[in-house]
This record gives sequence, structure tokens and C-alpha cells, in this order.
Amino acid sequence: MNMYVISLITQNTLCVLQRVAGMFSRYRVNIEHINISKHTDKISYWNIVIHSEDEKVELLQKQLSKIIELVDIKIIDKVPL
Amino acid sequence: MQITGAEAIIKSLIHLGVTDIFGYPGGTIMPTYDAMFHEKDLRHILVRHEQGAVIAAGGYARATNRVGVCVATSGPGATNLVTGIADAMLDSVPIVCITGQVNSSLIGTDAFQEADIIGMTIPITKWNYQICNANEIPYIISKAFHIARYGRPGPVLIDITKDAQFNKLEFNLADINIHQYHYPKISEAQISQAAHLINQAKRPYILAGHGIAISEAEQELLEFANKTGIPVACTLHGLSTINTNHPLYAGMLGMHGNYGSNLLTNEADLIIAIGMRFDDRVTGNLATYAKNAKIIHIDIDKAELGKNVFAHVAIEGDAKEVLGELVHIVSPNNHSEWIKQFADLHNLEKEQIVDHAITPKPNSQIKMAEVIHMLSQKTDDGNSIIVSDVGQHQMIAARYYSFNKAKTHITSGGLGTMGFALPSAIGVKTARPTQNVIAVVGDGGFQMNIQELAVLVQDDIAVKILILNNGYLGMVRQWQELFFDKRYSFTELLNPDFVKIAEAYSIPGVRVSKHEDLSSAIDQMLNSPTAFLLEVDVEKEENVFPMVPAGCGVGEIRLS
Repeated sequence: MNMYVISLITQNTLCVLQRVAGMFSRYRVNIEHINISKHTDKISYWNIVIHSEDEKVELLQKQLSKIIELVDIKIIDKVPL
Repeated sequence: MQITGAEAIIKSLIHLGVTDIFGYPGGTIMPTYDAMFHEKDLRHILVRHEQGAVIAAGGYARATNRVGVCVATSGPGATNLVTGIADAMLDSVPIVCITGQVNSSLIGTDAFQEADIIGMTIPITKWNYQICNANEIPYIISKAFHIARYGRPGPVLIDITKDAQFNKLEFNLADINIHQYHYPKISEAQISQAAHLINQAKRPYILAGHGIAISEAEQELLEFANKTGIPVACTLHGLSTINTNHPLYAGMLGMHGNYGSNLLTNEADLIIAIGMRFDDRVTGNLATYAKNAKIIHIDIDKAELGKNVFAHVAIEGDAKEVLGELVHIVSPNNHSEWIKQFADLHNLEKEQIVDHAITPKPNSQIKMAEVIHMLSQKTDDGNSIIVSDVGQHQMIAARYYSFNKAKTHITSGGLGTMGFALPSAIGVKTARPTQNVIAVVGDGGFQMNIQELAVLVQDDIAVKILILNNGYLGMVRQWQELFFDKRYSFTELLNPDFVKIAEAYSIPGVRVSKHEDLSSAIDQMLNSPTAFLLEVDVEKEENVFPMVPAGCGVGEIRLS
């Protein structure tokens, strides 16, 4: 089990939080920490902390990439627990 | 030009090439229905339940690869779409659902027929969006079509408030972008790596999936298989992407697929999976699946690559383009010894299962396979499309019908939506009016959307319905027999007289229970210029074999 820090850039629109959060809950991954801030009127920056495994995180990353409003996604940190 | 939002919806749809839509009116979608009242360029087919509309739109899309469109009102109208949307999501079907919504000033007040359909459909749509401002309508509808069709297709839902439908906007056709599709650039390194593996392999095996049909790569698949001499097995949705009589056709994969095609998966040294996603029904127990093979996985959806089965070479791309490139760089080959292994197992399955299933025996009831086999022989000109429901009859239709033309097999694979066949066949027949569309249904599934019989008459849609009636929810009963010590818990059905029901809708029908009457009844159905219902009483406790029991590997496939 590792702790991952995931960074997202999304459009700043209605329902984006629901789309992203829903993806985590679908894969039964709890969000330990989340921070979302508006960068411009159109763009938001996100940081999400989860506890999971590489395989699941890779799948989550690919599935999150399919959200139309998602602009970018990166795993910026991984710490063994 | 100032027009209302509702008029903009209709004009946008027409501009995007829509000719047919399926729907059901109601309070919040009334402005849009009013706008289509005099519209001659758009055929509206009035279903009897919104689930019928969304599944019909899906059938239309499956038959053509064009975007299917359905319309419903807010609240229950919208929630009734949910099953059909999930069905389209799992089977990658491009549909656009337009729902009415209460006035924007009433949203969040628990207004009459208000439902948060956006919240409800986020997990089962590729994209959804709520329009409260009429000005957004042309652009958003065009974006919806683009998203539905682009890449891996899927459903999109657009929820439009009643005030946005009433309000005026400055409508300009230039606001409707007809997007061009650009697929990801295919990695040349991976293509050459794949070609290298293909050229080296001794027992290579192609698994052809739905992606072949979606990208219309049937010809490329054929050229690739012919050149390399590699056997081709199809997933349920891959059926009809290659002629089932082709010498390289190895059979159907999956829980009720063919014996050899499943068993030899574990003998293959190379698997070339094209437009398929290694669904659990195909792989069985993953721990023992294809352990001797390297895997080349070709899919338009990056998220599928390596999801269930590790891919040694993962190629993100459109099947048509990838196969088009691969075919030029692979070496001609043949694998006669390997093909013979498939032929031997095919013969074993034929002797032990197929011949018994299709040959009538005196003093016995008709078997499902006998009906499908006869239907297949009578419609071998390739002009018929089989639309099956979900259950035993679906597996029998997939196993015993010879598909010799592309896009002639349509079914609900991923979600397994009972009640699918009749409304889907309505969509298919609307899209393909010159083809014979035959809905093969069980007595259970047929009753889930039986109300759509009315559509066949009101909109003059000549769908042929073939009910294989065994008086049970047959697939569940089979599992109860095999795995629950024959405790048939609530799977026996007391059915109505289906022919009389058809008659009440002015649809001609016949019921058959004897072998000798079957042939003429099928002829009568096929020759009917209008919709027709043929009910066949089949053996009550027939089981579908071969079978890979749940949790077992494909190597443990059972012939009985």
C-alpha cells in the first residue's frame, strides 16, 4: 500500500468534482485529502491524496483521463506506507 | 435569425444529419415536440416507454455506426432512460439522449417531475450536460454528437430546461461544428514489434471484438487473417465481423462460445486481440487465462490496454488503421497444423453437441438450436439482421446462426439488458428498412418491453419476432439446475398467449410446437410484408453447452 499524490487540471465547470470523486468511489478508493482551487475562471488545479496500489492507480489515471473536462493528470508523489 | 431554443434543438439535429429520432413526449419537453410537429425532415417514432426509445436509438446506432437519438421528458421520462444508457455505455454505442428539465428557476425545489438526471447519469455516460441558456444549444448538441462518436463511442445525455427551450436565441448554422475525427497517431515502433511477434509465432490467434465492427475494419481483418493464415475467433459482439463459414473462423469465445475456440486459447503462443476488452465472460478465470501466449492488444481506448490482461504490445489506435498498417508488414504464412487442432475440436463439438441440437428427434419437443439453424438456412443471403435479447436464446442465436455479412448480429452484451431485442430491432429496422430484421427473444425478455409492439403497427415497422418459449427464465434456470441443485427459485413463468397479444395489436402471428410445422411457419414469418410474431414452444429444460462455469478457466470448458 502506498500513498499517492495526484495532481489534476480540469475545466472549472459544474459537476467536475462529482465526475472525479465518482471515479474514485467506483474503484473503492477513499480520498484522504483533496484541495481544489480556481486558477482562472476556466481552469481549476487539484491535489488529491489516496492510499492504494500501483495497478489500481494506473487504471484510475486512465479512467480519469477520459473525463471530458479533464485537461491534465499527473501522479506527482508516491510514498510507501 | 431569432428562433426558440426548441427550434434550435430540431434544426441542430437536422443539420447534424439526424433523420430519425425515438421518443416520448411529456411536460418539460413539450416545446421541443411542438417544434418538430411540422418538421418533415425528421421522422419521430413514438415508443410506449422511454426505455424503448433509448434502446431503439442504440439499435439504430449499432446497425449504422451513426449517432442514435432519443428524446424524453424530465423526471420519470429521464430516469426510464437509465438502463438503456448504461447498456450503450457498456457496449460502446454512440447515442445522444435529450431530456427535458424543469424551468431553471425551479431546479432544486423538488418541482413536479424534477430529477437530477445529470447526477444520476454521470457514471454511465461519456459526457452529460445541462443547458439552462438557449444560446448554448447549437454548440452543445454538436459537441454531444462529436463526443458520442469520437474514439470509443458511447452515450451522451443533454438535459435542457423548459425555459431554455422557450427562450429565443440568434441561430447561426456556423455555430454547429461538424467535427472531424482524429485518432491518436499509431506508434510505428509498436506496429513493427507486433509484426515481429506475428511473424515468429507458431500458434498465433486473433480475437476479434466489437471494435472491428465499430471501426468498420471487416475487410482489413479478412486481409490480415488471409495473409497471415491466423485463425480468428470472435467475441459475442465480434460476431459477423468475419464470415462464420470462412476456413480461418475458429468460433465464438466466451462462457457459451465454441469448444475449440475457448480451449485453444491456452495453447496459443500469441494472441492478437483487436477491439475487445478481455471481458470476464470471455476470459473466465484470469489466473489461468492464456498463460502460454504473448499478447498484442489493439484498442482505441487506452484504459482497456492492460486492464484485465497484461499486454506485451499495447497499441492504442483505430482497428481499421492499425490492421491497415500491419497487413503490409507481416509475412505471408499458414499454420495448417494449428488450424487442424481447431478443426478437430470443432468436429468433436459438432458430434457431441451441435448435431444433436439441430436434428429433430421423433416425439420430442423442438430445440432452440433447431429453430435458429433452420432460420439461418432460410436467410443465408446475408440480408437479415438478427437482434437477440438476453439469455439462453441469445447464446443459441449466436452459436447456431451463420453470420456471413457485417453488422448482421446485434445484441446486448455488456449489460445483458433483458427486454433489449424488440426496441432495438425497431431501431435497426428504422435504420435498415430494406433488410429483414428478426428479433429473437425469450418469453421472459419479450415481456419486459412487450408494449413496443404498438410501435410496429403505428409506425409501420416490419420487425419479425421469433419467441423461443420454454416457460422459464432459461439461463437462470440452467444455473439453478447445474449449481443450485435444481432449486428453480422463481424462474418458471406462466405466460400469456403471445399470438393473441400480437393479434390485439393487429400483428399477425403463429404458434408452433411440432417439428413438422416449423419450416412453413418460419417461411410465413419471413415472407410477411408486415411485422409478424412467431412463437415456438421449445424444450423446457434444455441447457446451453459448451459452458465455462463461472470462476473456471477457459481450459475447463464443459461439453455437458
